[in-house]
Amino acid sequence: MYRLRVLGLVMLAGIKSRMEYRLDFILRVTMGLIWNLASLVFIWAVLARFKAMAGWSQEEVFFIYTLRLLAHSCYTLLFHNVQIVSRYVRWGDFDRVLLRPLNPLLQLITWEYDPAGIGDLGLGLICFAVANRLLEIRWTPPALAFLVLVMIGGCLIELALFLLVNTLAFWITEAGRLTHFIMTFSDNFALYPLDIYNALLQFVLTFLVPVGFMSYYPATAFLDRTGETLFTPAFAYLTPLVGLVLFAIAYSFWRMGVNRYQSTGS
Amino acid sequence: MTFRGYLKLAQVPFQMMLAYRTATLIWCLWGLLRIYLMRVFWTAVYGGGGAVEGITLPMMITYATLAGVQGFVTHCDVHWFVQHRVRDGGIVIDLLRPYGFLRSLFAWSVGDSLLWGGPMAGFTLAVSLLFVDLQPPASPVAGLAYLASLVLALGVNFLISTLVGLVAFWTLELFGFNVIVRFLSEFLSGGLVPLWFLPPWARWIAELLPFQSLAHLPLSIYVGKIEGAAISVALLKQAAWIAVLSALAWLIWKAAERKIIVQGG
Repeated sequence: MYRLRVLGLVMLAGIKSRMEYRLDFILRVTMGLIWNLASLVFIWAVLARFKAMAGWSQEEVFFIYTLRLLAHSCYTLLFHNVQIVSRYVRWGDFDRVLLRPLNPLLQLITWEYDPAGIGDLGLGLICFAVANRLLEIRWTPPALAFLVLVMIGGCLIELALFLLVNTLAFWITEAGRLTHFIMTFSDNFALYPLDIYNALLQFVLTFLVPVGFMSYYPATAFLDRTGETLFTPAFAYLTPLVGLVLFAIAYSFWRMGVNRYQSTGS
Repeated sequence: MTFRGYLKLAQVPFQMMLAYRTATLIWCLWGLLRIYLMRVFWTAVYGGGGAVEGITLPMMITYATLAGVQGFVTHCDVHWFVQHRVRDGGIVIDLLRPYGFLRSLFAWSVGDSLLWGGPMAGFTLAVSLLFVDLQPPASPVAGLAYLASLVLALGVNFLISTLVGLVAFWTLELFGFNVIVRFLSEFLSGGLVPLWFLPPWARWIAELLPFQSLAHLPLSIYVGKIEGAAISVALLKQAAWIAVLSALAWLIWKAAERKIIVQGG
């Protein structure tokens, strides 16, 4: 409980220090919005022409996009800093972290705050409202509860992927650049129904870089299309579990890295 | 400073590429991943259907692949360099040096495109041929005109980047401004979605702005969507933009020289 309170305070301080630069704060929020808007405009422009995509209507693809964006905005709101953990390790800032009596990972996550997540969440909520007007999804209490679990699970998946890649910084120099790959997978590949891809990519996006669980798999549950879910219909409900397991793996890998850490030479 | 000095500047990006080998390789792999994604994406969207707006699937894949490959060559980020120099005051040193600041940016940028972008584009193109059926240019003329148009695209992109960079003399911060320009250029250049697929009003806006010179014009020439006399018109459009933007950059630079604020100085 004490730790949570400390974390809350640190995060609040981070937000406050960002807000000191008011224009910058607003710009960063706008950037979060525009960044995601870009992929939305892309999908919209293409689907307005082509109407559908491998048996998925425009509206359904939009819903897949929305699910990913909601999970993604939870991630950016809370854990965005994971993306630059490798930088702290390489620059030797990590020494300071180890000296303080709080979990190193939690410290790094709250080190700086990026308000872009607010823009992400704003756009996510707007998209969710629009998607609900376009599609008739019955939001029964269990469905809503499942939606919350999917958001948490999806958020954990993204967190775990970035953590895995950034932990590599304990061993190799260029780990930071590998985050671009994770971004391409989660920002681009996860936006579309998985059945448009070939068998190899379907396998990769399900078992190796499981971003499919952020959007496509749970979407088949919400859209009543579990009959055609890839591999097995059970995958439609597996997002929270995948998130937890992947995070557990990433976190133990992180612990390995921390134990191995030796400060930079200078 | 003589031409040789600029030549030396232009070689720096090449040396950087050799120094950061792993980083370069990762860039290439990342480019390949995106090209592959676009191939799969367009194949799914076409779904076995015929031509849309006169564009067949093989044409579309060729367009998207080349857009990804030529991005290495046309890419230009001198604006970050300008912001950096303005912010840390290094700009004062740049002004004391015996060469023109804008000209030195240009030399760097040419080197960056040819010596850094060129090999990467070549490598990416060669590897992507393993999984993409790239069509040859629509005609030999189209092939040559494409290369000419690509050079002009490079010029336009350099000027846009320079203009964005010069904003730093007034704002010291490019972050927001750059995002807006990037967003506009992403869509209105045709690099992501060919402009033929956009609604008429968006195409109309694209027609009025310089961004279509970056990807849409050269790639349309390559796949034969722009042909015959229209090729000369397209090249002239690009050249006209270079003239307009150069004049603008020069005027703003003259104003910026008088405006310099050095932090802490």
